[in-house]
Amino acid sequence: MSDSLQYFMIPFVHWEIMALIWGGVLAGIWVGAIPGLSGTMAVSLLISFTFSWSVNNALALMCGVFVGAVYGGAITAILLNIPGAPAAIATGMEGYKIAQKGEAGMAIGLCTTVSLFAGMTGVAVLSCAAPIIANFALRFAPRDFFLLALMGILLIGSIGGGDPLKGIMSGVIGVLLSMVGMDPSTGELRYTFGSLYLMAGISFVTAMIGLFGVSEALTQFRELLKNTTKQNLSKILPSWNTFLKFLPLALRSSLLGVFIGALPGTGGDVAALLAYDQAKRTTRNPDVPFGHGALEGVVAPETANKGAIGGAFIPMLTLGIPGDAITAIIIGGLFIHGLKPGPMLMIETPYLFWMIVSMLIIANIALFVLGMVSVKPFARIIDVPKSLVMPIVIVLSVIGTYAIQNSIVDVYFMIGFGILGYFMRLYGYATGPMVLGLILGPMLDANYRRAMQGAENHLGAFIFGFFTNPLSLFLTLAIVVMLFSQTKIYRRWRGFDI
Amino acid sequence: MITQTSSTPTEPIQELTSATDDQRKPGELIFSIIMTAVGLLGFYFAMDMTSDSLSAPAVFPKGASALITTLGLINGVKIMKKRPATGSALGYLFPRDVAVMFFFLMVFCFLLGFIQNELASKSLVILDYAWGAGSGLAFSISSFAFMVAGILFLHRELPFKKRLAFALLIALGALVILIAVFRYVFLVILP
Repeated sequence: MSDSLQYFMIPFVHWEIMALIWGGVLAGIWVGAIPGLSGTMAVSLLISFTFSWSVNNALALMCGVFVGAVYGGAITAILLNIPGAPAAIATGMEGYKIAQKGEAGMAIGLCTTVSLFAGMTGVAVLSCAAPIIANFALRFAPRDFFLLALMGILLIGSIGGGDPLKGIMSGVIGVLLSMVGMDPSTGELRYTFGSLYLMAGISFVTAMIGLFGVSEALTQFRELLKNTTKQNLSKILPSWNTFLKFLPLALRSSLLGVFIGALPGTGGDVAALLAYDQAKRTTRNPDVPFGHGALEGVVAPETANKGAIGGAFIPMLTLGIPGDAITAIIIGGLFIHGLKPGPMLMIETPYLFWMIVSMLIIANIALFVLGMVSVKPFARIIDVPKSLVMPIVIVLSVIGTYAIQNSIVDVYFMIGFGILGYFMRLYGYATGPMVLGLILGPMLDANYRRAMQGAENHLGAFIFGFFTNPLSLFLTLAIVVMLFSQTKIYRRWRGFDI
Repeated sequence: MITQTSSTPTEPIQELTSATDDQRKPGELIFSIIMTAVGLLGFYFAMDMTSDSLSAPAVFPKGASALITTLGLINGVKIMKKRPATGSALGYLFPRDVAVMFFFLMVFCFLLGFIQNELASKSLVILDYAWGAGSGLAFSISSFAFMVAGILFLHRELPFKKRLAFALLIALGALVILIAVFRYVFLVILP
């Protein structure tokens, strides 16, 4: 116990580790806020950058950037309706509406406060229940991942808005586009038309930047002469009562985030969308309805994606299996530094576990302080005339897209998605479901096929499996409840405004 | 200051058209037909994929494209029931500001690719080398031109000389900051 405490205290007493965490968080916030620049990219750059450093310093910087980047995505989502990262798509849906009412400062302030709470919840679960959750996550079979992805796809009903038919259509087109490229299990080419570029598939980040960034810019060019709203920045820190009001939702969403984050192959983006959906289904009569700037719609996704950070470290530190893309890169970094992530990591190098726990705690505190300090400067972005901001947004979108894999073709695709997104908005097709389809399509396809192969291609055995395995049965029932909760009968029964 | 009326990506932009709920928007039917055609083409090309079992690579592409086609047809019928649109689709999709910025965007893309190719294949490669490999000479030229043209056009209420100075200053400042931050802080390679 005393050894653990000693290891835990190391980052608190070494100023250079502390400084690296704070610097990492600050850099992460900016990286996360810019569409196309992701935490994954930043951490992978740091691997080569920190190659010759001590493992403690390298980890400090990576943890800081990880935490900061997840938070940063929400800022541009709230201010400009352009999510900096896929995990902030759901945040932008409500956050931007709040900003349009002149309350962007309050929205970012609340987002920062609940992020601290969610980050700490994730770290608490990581430090107390890591082995239990890791073992549970390992029980997920392909069939269960398929059901999880199916749950995600059902969110189209929640994030579609407007005409559900068009929302579903947009989502399914996203799924179809996600099929482009080389099939990972058989190597067969799908929809590549002989193009080498298409063999790698269509990046959902490219699509996201186009569908949200460029299409938003084109839409704004229609509205340059419309009235403007002054932002109220007098009250940024939410009151204690406001925090308490959102505490149950924040706790629920954080725990959901931890659990989703702990599942290998998922991450904060799926967690945020699921949390937004559960908030929408379970919040009775919010002060502002969902779709019109409900604060619950900012709290739920933001707490889920912060909780997912702690969750992603659980399988990484206990089993050596990455919970998401960033922890996969951190595992690579640990190998470079001569460590062997896996079940023996906690036994052979327990200091590493407790140091990461304390680094994440410091990073979350840094996030709160730096986030709060940055609210006012960030909120000023929307005081700049759109006629100046939007051409720069387009140029930023180009840099962000090119940075993904240094390909000019990606830039053309991004512009194509931007034009498509602009047309879709004009004709009432939501763009969010298309990105959701692109994210979840490969997960659906791969896990469906693995599960079907496990059932020896018998449809009956495949469906029977949903009811014979307790975990699959639980997920199947959850899907049934999700579907039922969209009906008027359920909403009347629970006393929601219909 | 922000615009009050722009919408989220999840919501249709009702205020951008004078069309009522029971009236088509200009070009709405054509767009719906194009979306349906995506499903049909998707299914057609999926027929070439292996589909010998329930776990074959063609299952999801066929399923997804069949669903798109079905939904597209239902949507098409719904649109057909509405009163015909008034006004041209091109005029609705591309009002003046959008049309001009869209044109600038196309020129920007063309310039970006063209200059990058020229720098890579011709004697101009020396120029690129002198600028700094990966430091984005193609990007710098094309995005500077795009920002200057865009700001010049969007701020046409100002006198020309003042507008030109303003556009050059803003574009140059933005470009310097972008290159400094992305190339030298985040170590991102620029086109």
